[in-house]
Amino acid sequence: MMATLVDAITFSSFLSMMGFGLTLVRRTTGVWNVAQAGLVSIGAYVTLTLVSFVGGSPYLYLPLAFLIGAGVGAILFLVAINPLRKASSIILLVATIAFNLILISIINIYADYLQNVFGILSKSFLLTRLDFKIFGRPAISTISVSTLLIFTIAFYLFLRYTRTGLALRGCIEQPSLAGVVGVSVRSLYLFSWVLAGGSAGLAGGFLPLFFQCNPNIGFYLIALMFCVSILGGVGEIYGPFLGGWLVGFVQIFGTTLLASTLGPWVILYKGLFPMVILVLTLLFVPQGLSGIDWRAKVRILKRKGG
Amino acid sequence: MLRISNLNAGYGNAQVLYDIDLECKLGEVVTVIGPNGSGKTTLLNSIFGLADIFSGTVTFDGISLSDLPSHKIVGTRLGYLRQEGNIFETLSVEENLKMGGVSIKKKEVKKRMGEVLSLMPVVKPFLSRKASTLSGGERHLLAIALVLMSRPKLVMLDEPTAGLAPIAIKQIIKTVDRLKDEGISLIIVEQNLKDVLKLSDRSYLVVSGRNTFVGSPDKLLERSDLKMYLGLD
Repeated sequence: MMATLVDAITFSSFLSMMGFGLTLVRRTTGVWNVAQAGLVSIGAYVTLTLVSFVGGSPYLYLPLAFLIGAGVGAILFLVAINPLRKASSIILLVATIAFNLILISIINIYADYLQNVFGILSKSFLLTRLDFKIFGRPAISTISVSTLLIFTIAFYLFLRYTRTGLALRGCIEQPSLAGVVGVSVRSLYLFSWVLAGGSAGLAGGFLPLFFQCNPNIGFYLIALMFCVSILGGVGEIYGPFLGGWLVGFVQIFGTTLLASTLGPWVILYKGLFPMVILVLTLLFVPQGLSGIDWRAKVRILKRKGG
Repeated sequence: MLRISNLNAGYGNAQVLYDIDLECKLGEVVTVIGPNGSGKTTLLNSIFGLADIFSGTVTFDGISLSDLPSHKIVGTRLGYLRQEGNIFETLSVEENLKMGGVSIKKKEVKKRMGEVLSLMPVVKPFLSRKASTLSGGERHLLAIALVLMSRPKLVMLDEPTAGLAPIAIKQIIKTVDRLKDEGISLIIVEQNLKDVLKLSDRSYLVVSGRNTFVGSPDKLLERSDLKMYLGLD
């Protein structure tokens, strides 16, 4: 039970980080960024490469995974999104799909290169042996949750107390008015893509300590990222943190519970749990959990009760 | 100060304005009037980089605005109060004012906020409120305060009294009058002519995207053939 709880917490932390980037660029530029998958894979390969060539703990390379993810996020915005800024959201979605295919292809070529030239097992790898223990448990759980917590608090403080954070909030609400009062909207869009790429790279950097990774690892997780973003609600920037934890817990606990009741074959279909939640969310609360006016709901309940 | 010559502008392939000339000098109040759909808002949008300029020139203090993006135009000390979407509803009133001050130095924002609030003390009581909770009149006042935060020398106001109750209109007109006294030049697009023409030094009548009259408000009011556009008896 304890191990399942720890797994759920760890997995939820990754999902929240990945979903955050997806929600942020959706809120700012109105784009569903499928290339978030490729950015996650990049993070995993940054960790693998540095652990293989430099050595040491994989945690040391997380800042670099963030920076490289951020850099690729910036390139994606400048090369594919900004030139198409007047295009429809469907065209932009297709552009991110194309960019993702390019990224995944490059990562595959790179993995082949690592394997063929340096003999590194890069087409399928797991780095749990390099993890250490905290309170008898793999450190990944504590460190991933702490990182998410620090990331969330830092982002909250940034939005609340900095000038750029305020401008970003204004820009999310009304980009044209933000431009009229003197905000460089394009620069803020670029910033949001950098941050989204960074968070995906960071989450990807953690993955080899928890999952068997390969060049398509981000692609396997993209449906869950969308689930996190939609369930949490794209209307609220903090939505993915809520969505990530719900999806992570449902997937891990739902699978464990049903596998113990119906048999281990259920594990093969574990991806279905969050998808069921996604469908239910779209049907009944399309604005996502963070978009619900909970105060109004409480008022209605009180009125009915009274 | 602001000079527009032979302006042809619109959106995409659709031309809205034809050979427009307009001038606003330091400390002047200029009104732009005309029927709905005549291109008044497009005129302001094209000055501020929000519409496409096909030909002609727009200069402000000798700087050509034609190729500048909106956020850089603010830096020339030109302000624009749009008719709609002119406040950030999810932000507090104080945050709205801070947003208005993004083009000035960070350390000057607080001082400027004090200046704006002394010019518009009516905004002060609701500083901590969320902008979405304000009434129509309060929203318009906040929108004006927001524009003033960037220390503009010239402010363009697009129908600042549209949809307001008479008491709120009075308050807006009073504020506009104070701005004039402060030496801020104003270009006002307005339907509520009775009050605005009193403040105006010169008026432009725009019909179907073309200038059809330029002159003092008194001369405008003498023209019985233009009354159908003015809604005045």
